[in-house]
Amino acid sequence: MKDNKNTDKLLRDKLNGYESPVPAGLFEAIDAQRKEKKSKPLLPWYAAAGAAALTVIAVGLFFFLTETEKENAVQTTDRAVVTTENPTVTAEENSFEINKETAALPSEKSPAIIVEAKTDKTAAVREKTQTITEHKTATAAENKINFIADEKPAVQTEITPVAVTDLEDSQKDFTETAENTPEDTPIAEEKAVLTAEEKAARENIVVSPLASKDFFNTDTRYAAMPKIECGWESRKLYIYFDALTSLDMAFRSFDVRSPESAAYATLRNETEQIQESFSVGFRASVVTANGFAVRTGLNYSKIREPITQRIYEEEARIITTENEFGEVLSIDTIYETNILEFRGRNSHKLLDIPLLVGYEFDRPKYNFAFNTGAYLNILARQQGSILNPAGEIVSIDSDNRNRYNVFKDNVGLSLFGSVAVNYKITPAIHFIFEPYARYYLDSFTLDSHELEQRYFTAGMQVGLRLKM
Amino acid sequence: MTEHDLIQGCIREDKDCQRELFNRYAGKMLTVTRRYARHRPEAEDLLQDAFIKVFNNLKKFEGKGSFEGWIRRITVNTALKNYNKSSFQKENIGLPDYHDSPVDAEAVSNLTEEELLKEIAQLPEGYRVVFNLYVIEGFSHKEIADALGIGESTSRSQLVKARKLLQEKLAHFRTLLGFAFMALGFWLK
Repeated sequence: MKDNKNTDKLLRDKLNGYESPVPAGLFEAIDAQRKEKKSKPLLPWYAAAGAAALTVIAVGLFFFLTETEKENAVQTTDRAVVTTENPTVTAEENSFEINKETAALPSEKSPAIIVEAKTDKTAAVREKTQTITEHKTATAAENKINFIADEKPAVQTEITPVAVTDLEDSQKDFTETAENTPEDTPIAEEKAVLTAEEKAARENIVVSPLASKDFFNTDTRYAAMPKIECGWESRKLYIYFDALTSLDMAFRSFDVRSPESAAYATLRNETEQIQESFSVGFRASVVTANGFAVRTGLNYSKIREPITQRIYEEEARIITTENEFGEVLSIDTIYETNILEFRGRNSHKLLDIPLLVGYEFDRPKYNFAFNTGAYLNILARQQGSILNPAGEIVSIDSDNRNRYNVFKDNVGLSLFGSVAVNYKITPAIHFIFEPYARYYLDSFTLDSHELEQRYFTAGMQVGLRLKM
Repeated sequence: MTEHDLIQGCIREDKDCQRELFNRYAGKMLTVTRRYARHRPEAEDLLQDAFIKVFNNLKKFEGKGSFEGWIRRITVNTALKNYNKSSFQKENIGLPDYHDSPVDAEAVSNLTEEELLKEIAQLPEGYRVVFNLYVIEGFSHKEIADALGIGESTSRSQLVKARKLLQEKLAHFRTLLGFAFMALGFWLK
């Protein structure tokens, strides 16, 4: 033991003080590598995650704001319909102003609000058709369409897209009509009580379904809308944000690119096992009132494959037995077998953008959904070691410059399908159970490699959904 | 330039200071990485990684203990991290107990540093790492077991085997050296 300590000290002193000759250019390489790392302010997947998150938020805000504006527009229409019922009008007070600028808005961009009206009481107006266009995203005040609620002529006004000149003529006609209307027309006392539909029925007014407060009730919304073209923007949209995590199993297959590689495929299959994998991600969904959904977000998944390889080493020891005179009595050979076991933790790390469509059934306590689509891979990285065709253990670390470079850094598209059951903890927060399956269309390995390495993963996603 | 000035210069990203620091310690640290690496290119890669960590973390050096010791620790940890990525674990199956066999001190003193490094590099990877940590770095078997994720008994047996192998290699070297001297003697005669 003492001998060992002396020798250890000798070795330590000798080696600790020794300076190995350093090759030229190593400092420059270090400096360059540091600069390279500094010039990357964000890692690629963080940049991608940020971009995807911004996209999702932008889409969400767009639809959310569109909804708000649409509601404003509907309120304006309500008011317009009610005011046409008022039988009393004075020339001064019936100011129906149409701003040129508003009227000149492209008609194809503003089909949502259409109000028709015809007059039975005023001959001058009856013979003409008043046509006004109102942009759906503008408020009544912005459009300068001013109905004076209590002093409106009993006219039915048809509002459809027209040219500016027509509008100017119409404005003139309207003024004339107002002047010819008797001032002593009885004031309608029921104005505050009747709904737009009831008044329309009494006065034969064709009321836009958009003016109805029940428009978003799916049972009544299509009841009477003969002249309405109901576009995407006229439907109610819901925005959801999902945070998901899952436990997966990854099923791998090796396909040989040439018959000579069959033995290598067998070797890889024997040494690399399948282990449970996992993924995490977030997702944003836009769902229409009739259940169609579009989803996107960001997903990180890790496919894990432990590798075990036993290497047998045989060592021969020759033992010579001598007698006291130094004569050799016997020579024995002892064979010792050492087993070196290599154990590695291989993994494939993937960052994907899900692009999904789905359909949802909404129930009071649950929500059921079917989803399908593709995951677009934006980054694939490997960690660990595998056996090369020569049977040597080689690194596949993406960070290792000297790695056995056979894996792609982008594995392309994978097909995705899932069935989800969402339990509504509260109306705004749902718990998600979502079994899914995913198939990678492309091989993870480069075309130059002997084997095609493909994956199919299946698992159970769980998470929380937030309704906006 | 004092060590303190050098460190402050490196923190300011002064290229001359960084080069000076590198020149001062790179040779010794390359000796460290050569003891752990399988071959020279790997040792240079490890040295490169270690110095990147040194430059990036200089602000964290608190001045406690020797600066060289701090750099050495970073270098050894870099080498261990690299080793752990592809960990070899030794299992003893049906092997007799080994008795610790001392390495010949005379042989060690006769060999040059380069020759010693070459002999150490020829040890199997698991043996080599344990031998380095125990003999040169002064780790205990428990510390080695924690660092490598192996049992203490594995660490002990690997050290014994490493010593034995090294002893055999040195003895072999000594025999060759003896033959060389004999040949030289005959030739001079």
